[in-house]
Amino acid sequence: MFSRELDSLYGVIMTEEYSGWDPGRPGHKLLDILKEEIRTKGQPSAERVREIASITGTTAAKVRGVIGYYSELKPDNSTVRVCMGESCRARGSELVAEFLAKEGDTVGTLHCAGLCTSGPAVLRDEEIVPMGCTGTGLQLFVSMDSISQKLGSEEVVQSLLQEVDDTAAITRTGSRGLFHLEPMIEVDIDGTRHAFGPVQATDVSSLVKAITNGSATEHPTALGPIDSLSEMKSQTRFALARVGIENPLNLAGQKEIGAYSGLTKARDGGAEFVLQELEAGGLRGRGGAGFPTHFKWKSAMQQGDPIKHVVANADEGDAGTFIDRMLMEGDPHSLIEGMLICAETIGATQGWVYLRSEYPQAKRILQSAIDSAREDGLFGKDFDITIALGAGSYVCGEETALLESLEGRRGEVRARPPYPTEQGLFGHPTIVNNVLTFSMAAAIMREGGSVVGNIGTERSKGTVVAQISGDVGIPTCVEIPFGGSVADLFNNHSSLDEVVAVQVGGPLGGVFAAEELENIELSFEGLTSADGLLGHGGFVCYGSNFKPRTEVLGWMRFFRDESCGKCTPCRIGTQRALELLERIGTDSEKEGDRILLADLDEVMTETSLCALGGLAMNPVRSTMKRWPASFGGESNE
Amino acid sequence: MSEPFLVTIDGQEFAGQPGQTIMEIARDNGINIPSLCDSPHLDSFGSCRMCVVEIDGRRGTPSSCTTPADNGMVVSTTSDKLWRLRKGITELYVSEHPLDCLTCTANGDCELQDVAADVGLRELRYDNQPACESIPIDESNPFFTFDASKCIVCSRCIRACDDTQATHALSIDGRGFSSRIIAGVDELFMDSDCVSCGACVNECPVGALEDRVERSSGIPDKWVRTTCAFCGVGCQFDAGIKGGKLVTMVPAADSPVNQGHACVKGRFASAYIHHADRLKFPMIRESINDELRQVSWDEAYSFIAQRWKQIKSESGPHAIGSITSSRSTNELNYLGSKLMRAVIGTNNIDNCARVCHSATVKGMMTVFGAGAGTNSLDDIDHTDLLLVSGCNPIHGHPVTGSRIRRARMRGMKMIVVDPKATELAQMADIHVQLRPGTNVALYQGLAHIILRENMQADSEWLDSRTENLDPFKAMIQDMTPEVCSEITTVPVETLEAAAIYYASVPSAMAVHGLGMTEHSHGSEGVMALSSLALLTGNVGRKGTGINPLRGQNNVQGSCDMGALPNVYTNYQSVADPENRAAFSKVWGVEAPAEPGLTYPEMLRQVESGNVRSLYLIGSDIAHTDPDNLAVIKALSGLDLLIVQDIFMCETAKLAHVILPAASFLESDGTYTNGERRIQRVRKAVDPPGQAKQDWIIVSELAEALGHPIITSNDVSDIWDELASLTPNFRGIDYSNLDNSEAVQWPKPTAEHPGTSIMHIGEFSRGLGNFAAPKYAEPNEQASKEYPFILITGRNLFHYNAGTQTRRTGLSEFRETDLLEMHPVDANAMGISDGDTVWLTSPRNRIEMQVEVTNNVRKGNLFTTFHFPDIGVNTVLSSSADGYTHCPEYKVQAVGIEVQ
Repeated sequence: MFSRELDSLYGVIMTEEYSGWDPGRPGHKLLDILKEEIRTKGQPSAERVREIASITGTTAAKVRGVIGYYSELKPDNSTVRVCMGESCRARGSELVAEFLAKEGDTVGTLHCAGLCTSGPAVLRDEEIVPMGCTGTGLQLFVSMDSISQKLGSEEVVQSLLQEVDDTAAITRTGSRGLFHLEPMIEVDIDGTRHAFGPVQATDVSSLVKAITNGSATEHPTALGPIDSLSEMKSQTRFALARVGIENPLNLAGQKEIGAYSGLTKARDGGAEFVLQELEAGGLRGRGGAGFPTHFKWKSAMQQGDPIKHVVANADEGDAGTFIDRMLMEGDPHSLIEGMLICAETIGATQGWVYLRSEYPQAKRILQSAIDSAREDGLFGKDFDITIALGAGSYVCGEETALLESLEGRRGEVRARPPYPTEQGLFGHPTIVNNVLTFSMAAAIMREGGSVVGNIGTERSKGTVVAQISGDVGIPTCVEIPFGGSVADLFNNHSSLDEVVAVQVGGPLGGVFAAEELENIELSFEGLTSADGLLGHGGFVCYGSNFKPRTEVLGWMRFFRDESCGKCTPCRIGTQRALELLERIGTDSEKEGDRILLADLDEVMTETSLCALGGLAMNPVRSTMKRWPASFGGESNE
Repeated sequence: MSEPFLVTIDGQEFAGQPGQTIMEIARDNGINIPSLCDSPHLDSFGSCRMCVVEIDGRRGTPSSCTTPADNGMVVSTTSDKLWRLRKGITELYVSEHPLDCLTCTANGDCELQDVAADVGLRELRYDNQPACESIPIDESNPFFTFDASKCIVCSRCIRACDDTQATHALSIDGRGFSSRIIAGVDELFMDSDCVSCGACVNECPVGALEDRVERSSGIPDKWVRTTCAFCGVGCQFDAGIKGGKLVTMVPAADSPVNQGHACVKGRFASAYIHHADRLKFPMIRESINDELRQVSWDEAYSFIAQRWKQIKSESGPHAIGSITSSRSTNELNYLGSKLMRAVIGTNNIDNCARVCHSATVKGMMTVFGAGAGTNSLDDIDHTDLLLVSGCNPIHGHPVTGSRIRRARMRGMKMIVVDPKATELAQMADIHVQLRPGTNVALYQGLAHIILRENMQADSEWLDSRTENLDPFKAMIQDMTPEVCSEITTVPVETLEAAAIYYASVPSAMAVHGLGMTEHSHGSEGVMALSSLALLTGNVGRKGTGINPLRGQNNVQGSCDMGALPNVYTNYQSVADPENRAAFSKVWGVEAPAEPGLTYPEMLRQVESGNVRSLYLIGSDIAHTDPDNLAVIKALSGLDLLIVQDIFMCETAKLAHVILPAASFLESDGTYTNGERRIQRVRKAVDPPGQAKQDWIIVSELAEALGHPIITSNDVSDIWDELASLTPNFRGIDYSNLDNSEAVQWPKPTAEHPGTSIMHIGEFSRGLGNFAAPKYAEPNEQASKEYPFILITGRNLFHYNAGTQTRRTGLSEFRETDLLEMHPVDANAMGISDGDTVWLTSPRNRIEMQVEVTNNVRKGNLFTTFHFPDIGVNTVLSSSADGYTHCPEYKVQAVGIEVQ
């Protein structure tokens, strides 16, 4: 017989579920592994790249390609990062960066941390953990939204903790969005929530005394009952209904004020009912494209694949927009609820939240909310939600690039068709919707499709969440019905005083002079007919120091740097456009440069694979048209 | 939408198939839409944006390569706007491209040039700023170069590497304008995972990735469709010839075998045909101690004729024998056997398949009644599960290896049975890493589990299609998972998982290689595997069956042609008087009745004087056969050794007569691949010097012996003669092979379409026969003195004897045989990676360099035998399969001595 000494037991069953083999799609874990590796050990050696490839079931080339693609997969020795998003730039982030560098910091940059109303955002590698306390006495409410924190809410809470007695409760909530009044404290006085703001830490002592002795309403920071504030009364809050009321992580408390009531209705009514309600509510994708959501869900629902995915696009990359972050920090259950409604409607087996890494607090709060929803049994047995963090790529907010990134690949845009609803993540039918879209879907199910659908305009039903930031007196975030003019939005909720220009819908959106806003309807179609776009609802304001040429170069440099490089018009076009723009209006301008730029505009706009290349000339065109003097042309003044 | 539909393109109506894009329909109908990133061989990608079109009723200008056509769609591929856009994109491309077209190696063969001409680009208004100008050309690969400065980042190379070859060796560094193609971790191609299959080179639309020979030679003046002469996959190529020299081999996209793909050998390594070492003149010598001298063909023939007549008169016809070659054509193999049978009067005819797949023929013949692969390569694309046994197609059959990997990417399940952790094993769902030589126990153990779990085929199949199930059940009753585990060393849970996995899918297909056959019980192993397929009903349907991967290009054909001592064409027994009468009638002689000797037997009978002369055609047995010193001794003892070859191989060095033969690119005829597909080889260049095609030499020799064996000087007549004698080939007319798609036998009548799947409805032998051999230990057993079990096999960059591959750039990839050893064993003996050790056996001791690797089992060693200087086969024993004499190459007891 054979010799036992020479043989041991052999035979390998690779994985319990026999997962198949595709080294081209190692999955999102590759990005996490690389991020950790590079953060702790620096750029990996060739040998280490091969090891990581082997651990993650892919090849050295694929790992190297991923490292080469994402901007966060580069060693970073900065001690501080300054936001260079449009809103922060409009408020002088370049000056701040210069100052910090002089002070001895190694300054890195990022493009938008979603802190647009409190900019310029300066980020150090630190975690601000919101404090609070529970009790049955005095009931205080303070926002822990990242912007509130930047405006000083943590300092206010620190002071409160020293001033209040130990029966008091300080509940941390999301933000009401009225940033000009933050830090704001809400106090339950005789069953009514009274607002105080802006409150500085130094105001706290007198405020607490005033509350204790019953003279709160006379305190200088007193604003009155929150619900009677004109800023609140003028809103129609569906998606934001629960933001700012209760601790978002108190699941029972959230349920009491309506969380998951939409899911219950969806479960009772079934998939067709959900689609009918969404159609009645006129829900269109809030990421920017405005595609009717019920069509999208129906398409995925009709696919026969037993494996389907629901993906929340939380890669909120447009500077000047931060509503997704506010929702994830202020009412994460509205996102989870929307995803669950979608999953049950289309028959999905896995949910994902693709979250930009610039939102650490959103991640922490959302993860807790997901865990508690799972523990509560809300997911059912065949569904779960995983948070996947981005690694620094603007294009990954585009749905197909996002899916590539989730598959552990370079974030290159896919040609459509096939649409993700047919072949999405790992080839399976997939719904990709924006965070706000999921929250809106949950709200429509809760409120009823016809309730939401009866407001707004013919083609833009329901509400718009407008985020106003940049060089503006009253930065804010409000949810109001579609319709009216953009100027009305400002006049009713903010101010156009000293505002020169407004860019609507993110860096790819059109730029308008303040005075033309009264002629532009606040709706998808209104912005489109003005050669702009509503996008994700961001309104970035520029004041008297608006430098059109500098901004145009900034935009094009951003597009050049963020182009995924797949399609030629964007890969080469953004670089050539930048070169032309650097010359135009200067002594280096060559004859024919403007014609060439116009020709390039047509090529990029007509033939690019996705909106980045297709819209890259949008802000350039609209700015050059309105402020020709800055480009060596005739003055418009 | 599943019906064919009509689409209008530029005013003309065309039929489209569901799923077709506008680009595909346009291309099929000869409408040119400019494009750079699209390729008929790749999935559409949509990155260059050149192929924009306008569609009635739709906004914008979608890319035609990514837009599915639809019924009634009206498409315009041409308009002022479309041409303006295309021109604008081209201008962008050219703005980052070097402007050195006239001296560019791709001049005249550049899609960017074509597109620029199409769009009428006459000026470049941007500054010219090549993106990667400063990156040096990568000249590391012996076969192709990469010049990043000429790259247009269309990703066709990456997609070919990912989706066709499935090696995933390429990617992009950076993004946007900084995007640039990289190999591996941004290293030289030679240092990366690249296996030089050439798929990327074929796809490159510009001069970035360039075939070195093509680069220096320019565009071929002639293209000849032919079949690759390396492994048994049978890839089709278009050989590009210029001035009588081979320039390039371009894999044929319309071939169902390779579908436009190739491996490094077929794509780049056929240049050996022009090597200076080629034999160019006949040579003879009286005795082995004399120098060979150049003679005329007539002199060589008469020398042979004279000596054979003498030997025949002294010792009878059976003192003469011939070994033909699985590397040569069907026509040669038929004619070689006819020479022995009809002219010499002996059945002493054999071919080199004896030492590879003879056990497959025996095993499958026993169970199914036919020894050939049951299904087709195409079935890999359709099966639910692939059972890979004892083969390493990534190395041995690379194009099939890629096909398997592609199938894995689509979700095909896979079990790999192999003592080595091969690349396929590492990407399998289940790797059964059994002890070498225990195949019979393994497959019977799996059958035991399947029966225990009641997962066998339904009783209708078992009752109506099979016989001898009860004796089979009785035999395997004792092969419990525990016993099987004890023998194979595979854990019970792995055995159970594999058995249940195999039996639980609608269709399971098996492929196997020499790891199944080259054993002392190789035939029984194939019987056990075939019986497993029979038990689960995995035969006679799409995506099932038992499919041997043939080692050499014409292993299937050489056996089909009757170059075997006991059968005529297509396994018609010599012992059957009816067969003999039929062949005798056509040949005009009385064919010998007594079956001949297998070639190991012929060699063994040299010493006794029973065998005095051998005629070896394209077989280098003095290098490739085990117990090699004994083989050399036998060959040296012959009175007349005739070697017909293209190089002075190890065997030729022992010959009295050297006959210089033509290579495959210098020959006409047919090869039969491992899926029974008969494919043409076509003469593309003239043989060097006086070298001649194999079949011409044999026929002229027959004439010199006074017995002409061909009726004309047309190779087609040889095929037509053998087809007339062979029921399964009777419907195959040589002129049809020339003119239409290659055909898979059986094709009994002209009307019969050929057979892609055998045994549908009925097995060749009627009922499928459960074979129940009893498990026995391998002959070779480890001992105290020889404690290691050595397995031999192949490496991607060489081909068997290496006579061809060692004379090409392939040696830059691998220049010696390495001895693979497990780290635990190496540590125990104080051996480090790269050390030289003695490999010992009772036969010989040789020096070998050690490669320490986890891929072999503890106590096992693995090596190749491509390099005669190393002499691996001198260490191996003559132990062989009891039925077929196929040597036990895969289990050899050896020792290691540290130097």
